[in-house]
Amino acid sequence: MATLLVVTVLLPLLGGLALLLAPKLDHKAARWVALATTLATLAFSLVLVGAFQVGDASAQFAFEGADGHAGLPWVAVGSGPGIRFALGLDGVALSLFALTSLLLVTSVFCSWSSITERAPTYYALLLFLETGLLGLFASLDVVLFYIFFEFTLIPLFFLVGLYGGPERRRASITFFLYTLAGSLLTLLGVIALIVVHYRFSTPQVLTFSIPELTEGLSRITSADWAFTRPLADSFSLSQFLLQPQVFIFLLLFAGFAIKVPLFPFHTWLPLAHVEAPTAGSVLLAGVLLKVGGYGFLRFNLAMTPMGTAVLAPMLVAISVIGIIYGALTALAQTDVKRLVAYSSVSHMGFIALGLFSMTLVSVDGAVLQMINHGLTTGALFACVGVLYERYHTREMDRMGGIWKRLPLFAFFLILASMGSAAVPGLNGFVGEFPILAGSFSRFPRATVVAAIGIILGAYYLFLMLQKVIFGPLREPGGEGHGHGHDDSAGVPPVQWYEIAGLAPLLALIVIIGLYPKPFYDRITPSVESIVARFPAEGAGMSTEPNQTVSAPGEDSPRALLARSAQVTAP
Amino acid sequence: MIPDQSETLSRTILVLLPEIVLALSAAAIMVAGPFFRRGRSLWAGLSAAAIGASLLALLAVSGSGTDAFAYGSVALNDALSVYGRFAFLITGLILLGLAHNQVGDDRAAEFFGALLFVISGAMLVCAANELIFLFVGLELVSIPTYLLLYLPRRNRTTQEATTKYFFLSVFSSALLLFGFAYLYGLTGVSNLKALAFLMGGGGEVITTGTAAIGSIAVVFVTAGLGFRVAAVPFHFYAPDVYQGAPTVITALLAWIPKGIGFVAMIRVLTSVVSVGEPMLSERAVFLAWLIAAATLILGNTVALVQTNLKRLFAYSSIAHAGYLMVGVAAAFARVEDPANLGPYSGAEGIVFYLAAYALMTLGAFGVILYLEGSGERAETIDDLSGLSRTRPLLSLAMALCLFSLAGVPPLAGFWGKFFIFASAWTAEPIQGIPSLQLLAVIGVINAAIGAYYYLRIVAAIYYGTPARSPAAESRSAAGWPTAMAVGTCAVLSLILGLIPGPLQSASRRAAVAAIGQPAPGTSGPEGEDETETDDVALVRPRPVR
Repeated sequence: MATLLVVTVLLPLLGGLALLLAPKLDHKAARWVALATTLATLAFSLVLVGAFQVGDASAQFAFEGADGHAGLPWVAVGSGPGIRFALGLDGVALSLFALTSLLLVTSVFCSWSSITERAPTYYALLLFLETGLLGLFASLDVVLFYIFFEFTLIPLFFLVGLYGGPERRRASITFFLYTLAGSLLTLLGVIALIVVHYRFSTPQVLTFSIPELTEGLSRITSADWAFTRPLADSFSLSQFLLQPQVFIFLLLFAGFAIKVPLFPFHTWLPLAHVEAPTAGSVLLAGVLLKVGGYGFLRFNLAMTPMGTAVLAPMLVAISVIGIIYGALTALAQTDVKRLVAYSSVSHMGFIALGLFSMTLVSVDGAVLQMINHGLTTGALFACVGVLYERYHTREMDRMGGIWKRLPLFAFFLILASMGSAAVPGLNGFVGEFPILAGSFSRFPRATVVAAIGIILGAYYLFLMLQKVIFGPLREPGGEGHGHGHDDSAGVPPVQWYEIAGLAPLLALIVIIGLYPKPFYDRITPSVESIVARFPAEGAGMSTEPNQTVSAPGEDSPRALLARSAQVTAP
Repeated sequence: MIPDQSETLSRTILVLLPEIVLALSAAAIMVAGPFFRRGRSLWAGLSAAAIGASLLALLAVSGSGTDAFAYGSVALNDALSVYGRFAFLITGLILLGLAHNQVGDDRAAEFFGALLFVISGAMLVCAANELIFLFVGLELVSIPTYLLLYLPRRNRTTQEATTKYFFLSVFSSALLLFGFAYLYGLTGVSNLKALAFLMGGGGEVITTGTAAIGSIAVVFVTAGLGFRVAAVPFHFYAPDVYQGAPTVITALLAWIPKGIGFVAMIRVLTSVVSVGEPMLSERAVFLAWLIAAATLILGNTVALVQTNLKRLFAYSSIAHAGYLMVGVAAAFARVEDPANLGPYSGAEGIVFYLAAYALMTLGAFGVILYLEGSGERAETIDDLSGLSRTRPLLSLAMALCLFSLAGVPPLAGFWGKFFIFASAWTAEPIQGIPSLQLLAVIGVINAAIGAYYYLRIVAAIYYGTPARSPAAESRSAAGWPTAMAVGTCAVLSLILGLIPGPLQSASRRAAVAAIGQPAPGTSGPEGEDETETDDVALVRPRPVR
């Protein structure tokens, strides 16, 4: 299985290289190669999902080296195990891993007819991006994680810059620089974690392994590291910020907050999402934003829990601001793609809220919501792509009554929107509900404000549906300001590849909504092991952690979460 | 056992065989030049053969250790020396590939001879274990460089660049010698290993009284070498000279003086100061801190507004001197035990970064040269616009080099930055001066700023449209050696990024060797006890107090 994981990660890379090196493929051949590669990768990752031991929190499918450490030695540093090529998946990583391989198939289908120029390069870039993302989620080594993390920038830079909309040049440079600036600070944070671990662990070990670092950092008893004062107890702001856990938290935070993106760092997102080609938007929103959430969970929450705890009120505040701000901005948009982009800001705010509330229920919900958001927003962007293919505009004011023209498409769009709007019975609900329930026990006021975000979310999505789907048929383009005259020859019906790209996402939206237990079963043990390291009683946290158990709810995760929430009790 | 003089001498000559081969070939080529009027390809080919022979000689002697002679010999054959000489020979071949058609037939012999002298001088610096010998190496680089600046193209801009470079280079040599004089005055020895030994536990040379003299030495040596590496405030010649010089010489200037400057800093400053009294090393860290921060900020911000490619790369090379100075600051930090360097060391980062820097910079200049060679304009960023449509492979090479310069994984430049920042972060905080961790933060912010101007070039290459489309048949190829040199740089940047292990362990060994102090008077590194002070007296004249 360990070999299969490595093969799964590297397969897209090989496919991409083959596409680049193959002489003069036309776009038809190129897309079939890309589809075959992504399907094979998806098949392999499904095998991994099947082989995953449910209930085991540790990383699975890791290759055990001859010297007792996971993975193969890559760069020897000092006398320790060094930087290693170590891959493995725990429950959280597995979910995002599978999501990535699924969304890649969707993105190939999204590009099926729209990309005809320089198609082999395009698909090669998509496949390189897939390797970067899969490797990132599967990394068990901090430096390896970081390398995959930054490597994803290069294919995306070219995907946006070469195949994007009219502002693509500016969008790609902005996106690249913004992300690079943040992630370089994250690199320093990662180095700091390694150095702190090296300095204070007994015996001194220079390790780069994520599980070992998480374990080792939680056992450090040095007063500086283990006791972090909240802002209220510190003498000054700078003294507060220079505490190791706070300082390192902020360094790590810089890169991931830009990726997520949290409220003041989101300015690159609308530009990049709108200018990117459809597949780029699907992947940006579907997977790359999750990288930020995953980083928060894996590094900030797991390795600097004290820092997270003392900063939590501020983090929750900016998450909530992001939720409301994103929703209000989405409400003001007339461009569908832009609307979906801002809705991402709002929804990612929920995920951040769930993570930084630091209760098992909310973190669990946040992780599931990452998957949900990947599915719904991926589907929404794919739908926008379908629309744009036909009308070459995304202005909501210029279209209406599309139901009459493309009934199947209308069904897809409605279902994806309802999933995104957290309608009970669909996946958004089972993700956002635990987030709100868990957060309420710690930050009741913030949660109440955040709940308004759900209402606003439903508002802008249904407004969009009303304009685009319902009403009298109005089609942009030509002279046809549409009085129902029939020139359907110009607007092809939904094609098979569009159905093939969207159907799996929509099916999962319904399945997760109706029966989320198998997903929670895989996520929860890994989340528990992280939550177990949270400081039991942070200052400023008025409620007992086990009050989270009393979170009300009538959905199926409740029983499961109520059972496992005892872990948070010290 | 104390090695006798003749044995030391014969061993030194053996160790210096690669340089001797190179310098003799250079002299032969220059002498033969006026008598045999042949085309430049002959001389280029002969030079390549000479570098090849020198490479073989280096491989042959690389096994012979010089630890036993460390306190008496002028040249060392330790890991740093082998690493540096190997790097300079390889980059010498790359430079030769870039330069093979850059000079007229009538001046080719002098040109290639001078190039070989530069390379052998650079190798001497890597091997030097003696203040004077180090200086000889540095001058052996400088003097032929004046020739090289003026030989390929004789016009007013070149004249200006040459004059500027000449005067500033001579000035920096004077500063350097002044610093060396203080070092000698302080300890009474000019052997670098002995110098380090005396500064450290062995001599107690640095007291509160002499710390000021030590500081003067450090300041002047840093200033003298700062000119060569183009660190602020000694950088101001770089943009003008880079822009005025012929492109191939710009490439040479961007790499060779920087390379030898930092190797010399490792040899004469960090290895000597960091093992010594904390008083001196703390001041040195502060000095390097200031230079690094100023160099980083100035280099990166001014590069943002450049449109001329050579000028842009001049500022980019200043910025890279800044990252390397971060490594120097970390390397200055006190090392308790020379045998145990800790997980990261500044010198290790510097040495790794230099190799990566050489490849990516030479690669980028090579692309410009290739375009010039095939008759296209490549002066401003706009000239590169849309290059990917006409020359996809060349564009790919340029993109790899630029991403490597920006420090994006998985390319060699990323690892260089990683090791440098890691070493800065690991350094213990020192009372009274801003911490190196702050410097690392300044460094990464600058790395993000720096990425912008590299990206601008990539964006122009890939997203721009060609300004004019010259007929495909009118474009000539620039010659295979240039193409091969560019290809080597780009491919190696990628390979070293994917498999940094071997280069990293080589840098590690180099850093350990640079700071290591063989026990005086014993025959090998295994003689650990340093109590035999009687033996030290044999290699140590009375210090001048």
